[in-house]
Amino acid sequence: MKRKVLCALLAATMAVSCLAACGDKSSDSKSSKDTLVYAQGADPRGLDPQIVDDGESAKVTNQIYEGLLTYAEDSTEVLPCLAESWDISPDGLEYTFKLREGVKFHDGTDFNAEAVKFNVERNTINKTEDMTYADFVWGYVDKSEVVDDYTIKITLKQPSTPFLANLAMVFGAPMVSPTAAQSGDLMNKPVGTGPYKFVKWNKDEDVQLVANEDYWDKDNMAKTKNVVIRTIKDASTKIVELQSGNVDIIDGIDTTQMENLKKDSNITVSQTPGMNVNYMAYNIERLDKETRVAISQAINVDEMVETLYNGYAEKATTVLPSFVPGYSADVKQIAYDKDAAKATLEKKGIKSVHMITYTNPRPYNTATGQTLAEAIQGYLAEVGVECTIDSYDWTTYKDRTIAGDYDICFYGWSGDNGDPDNFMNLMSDTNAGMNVARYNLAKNKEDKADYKEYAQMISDAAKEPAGDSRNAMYAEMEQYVADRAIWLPISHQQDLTACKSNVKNFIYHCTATVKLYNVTKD
Amino acid sequence: MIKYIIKRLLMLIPVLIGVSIIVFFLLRVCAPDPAPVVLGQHATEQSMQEWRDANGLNDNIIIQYWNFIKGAVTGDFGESYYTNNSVLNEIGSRFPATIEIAIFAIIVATVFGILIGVVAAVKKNSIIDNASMVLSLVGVSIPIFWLGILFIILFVKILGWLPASGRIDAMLRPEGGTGFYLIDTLVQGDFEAFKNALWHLILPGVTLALYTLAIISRMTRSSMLDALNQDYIRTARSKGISEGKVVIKHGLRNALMPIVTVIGLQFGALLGGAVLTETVFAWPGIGSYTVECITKSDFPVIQAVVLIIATIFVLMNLIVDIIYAFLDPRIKYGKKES
Repeated sequence: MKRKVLCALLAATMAVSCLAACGDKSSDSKSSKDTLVYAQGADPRGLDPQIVDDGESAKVTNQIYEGLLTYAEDSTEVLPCLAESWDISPDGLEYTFKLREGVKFHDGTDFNAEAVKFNVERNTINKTEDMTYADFVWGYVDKSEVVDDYTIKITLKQPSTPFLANLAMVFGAPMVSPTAAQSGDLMNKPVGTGPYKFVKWNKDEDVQLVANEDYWDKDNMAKTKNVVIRTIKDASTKIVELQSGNVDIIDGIDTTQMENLKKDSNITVSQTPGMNVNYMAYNIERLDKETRVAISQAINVDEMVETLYNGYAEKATTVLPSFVPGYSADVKQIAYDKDAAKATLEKKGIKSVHMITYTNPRPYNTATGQTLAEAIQGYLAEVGVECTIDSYDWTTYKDRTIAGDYDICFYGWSGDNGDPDNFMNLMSDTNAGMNVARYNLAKNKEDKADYKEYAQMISDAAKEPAGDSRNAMYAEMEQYVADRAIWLPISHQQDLTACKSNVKNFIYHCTATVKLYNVTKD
Repeated sequence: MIKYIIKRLLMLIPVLIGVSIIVFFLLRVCAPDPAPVVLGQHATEQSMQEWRDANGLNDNIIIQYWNFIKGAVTGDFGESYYTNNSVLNEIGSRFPATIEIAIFAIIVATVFGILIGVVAAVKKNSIIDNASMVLSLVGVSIPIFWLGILFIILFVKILGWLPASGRIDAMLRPEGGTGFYLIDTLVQGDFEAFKNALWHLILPGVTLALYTLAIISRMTRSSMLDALNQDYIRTARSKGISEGKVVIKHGLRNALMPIVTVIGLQFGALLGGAVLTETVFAWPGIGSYTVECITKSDFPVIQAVVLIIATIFVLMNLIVDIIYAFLDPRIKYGKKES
């Protein structure tokens, strides 16, 4: 009996192993025409857009949910979505939205003014401490009132021009079904109004979506019936799966793999300008303006960006990416001048600086903070300044920046809403975790006065209605912080994606999200 | 025997208390603060403070430990900080994948490991022996992620025989069931899905098996060599018993004890998750998930996983000890020596 069992076991194992050898090249694992397979590098955190804050979740929720407003396909221009139109009162405090009629959530709940009020209140008076974007999107809201079934009035505590841009965001702003939010589990079973409906989420495997046949926008119905958003953590595996046809689109590609992919005639690669900035921040508490300017002069940013990012990041000429309103090509950063830097630093007796940095790649700096710090260490050595670098994993690093024990630190920012305030106010913020230059804690008289002036400029611009006048205010601020060397802007990282050449209409948005309703496969 | 098993199971309690104390306090002392990770780039001092309050992280550490233990004994390990889901659900949704691949790997490793080890011992110092031992040395030494990538390049990219990642094509996934796709697809009679799941299992399963296979084959060889030199083997041969029967019935059976120990411990390790294999092959198991939770300081998940793995190891040791008694009738647990 025992021998029989052993023989059976042996035979079964042999058979399984042999299957590998005689496997056919069948296309059973290749995705079919009515199924679009998108692979990303991590599993979504959850599927409630009012709680999560990660790009992986957003790739899924952006297919299921919609907000009152949305971004244009290839820019951060704000367009109507669930709100057809809106009026802003002259004092900039009251926003009246006319809502689209005949829209239903996937669970059959009507989308109307009551639903919007529920969503606003979920993010304000009823918000929980884990709703990461509630304050950012809705923080200025004082109250919301239902005017009629399809009109809602939202009153702000103070004028805030970025409010409209916030309403198009993928986090905090999308409208969730009040019924599902009250009785269900939105983190696992999302219910929105979007072109795709949720089917199933297999943790660390994939999320399955199906086209919403009752979608309100008949001109923009989902073109591909099924969407599968897979989790493939290993970058090389993701690429092999694309090349072997098991997935259709991948994102988060390592720059070292791009040349290889470009050579593949079956693959189309794309480099999208990223809405981010990678920068070095001076600790204003410790370094005066003259020292900061001299250190900036010592660093050849052009050369460094070209060397570290292999052409997959653009040199930052200012804090703002070029497509964000308020960006000015006329802003002049401190020019590379090694001799002037050396003379100033010698005169001031600066022989060493203490840097802190992060060890892992970040969305705005794929080369890692460590590599960047070491490159700058090299430049500073040339002008006689020795750098001590303390490196930490990202979580610990965030604690270290709040503690403030450094002369220079490395950081970055991924834009949220496409509004210039979202970038420029980082230097006026009073929260040490955001304002890593610690500008608000400036000790010397000159920096202190400058900070006060800058904070006022930020506050004024946030209230100014969108348009040329507001854009000019931000251009002025960009030059203001460049002259005072608060940061050394380094680069804007591009988002790298690739898809099979039979995939059409795939656009990776500059907010690092995607909308797949229009994507088809030949 | 039953008395012995109960005694061993009771010994689990102090082991688990010890493990829970170590993991709980190590996390609180060494791991970074989870608040900035959970709240993301808009975290402020105030929002982090509120979040810590809501999650009990500002309580006295002894009270925190007491609350954890109180929950754990009732099977409530709390919620993941990061996903807000019950920890048991998070682990439960990934555990079938880990068990499935572990069983596949241990079967491949055991069958081939013992086969290679026995042949190597019987043909001692022959080319087969030397070749198999060099191969097993390579199997032990080779980095698993590198081997995985090589397999992917060969079997997926060049030959196109197998898929590189995942457990099954999303559109073929069985509805409901046990979470073990091979079983579920068979029970539902969906042979296309069964074949698809098996195809997906082969590369990660074989990659994971190779290290264990190498250890088992080396252990089998040395243990067999020892057994084959015993007097009872000579006696068996002198009685005219066929060589095959001598090797299997008299040699292998007596050599099995250390092999079973190794298999038991390796199986325990496989059930604890295989981080690298899971990452390379996008296998949705418990290993890479736990590492991710460690990087995010998701304390409730890490605590639960460590306790579960400790329990698995203790139980595997117990099972190995019980198997000893079946393999060697001289071993009698729970009885005083006469």
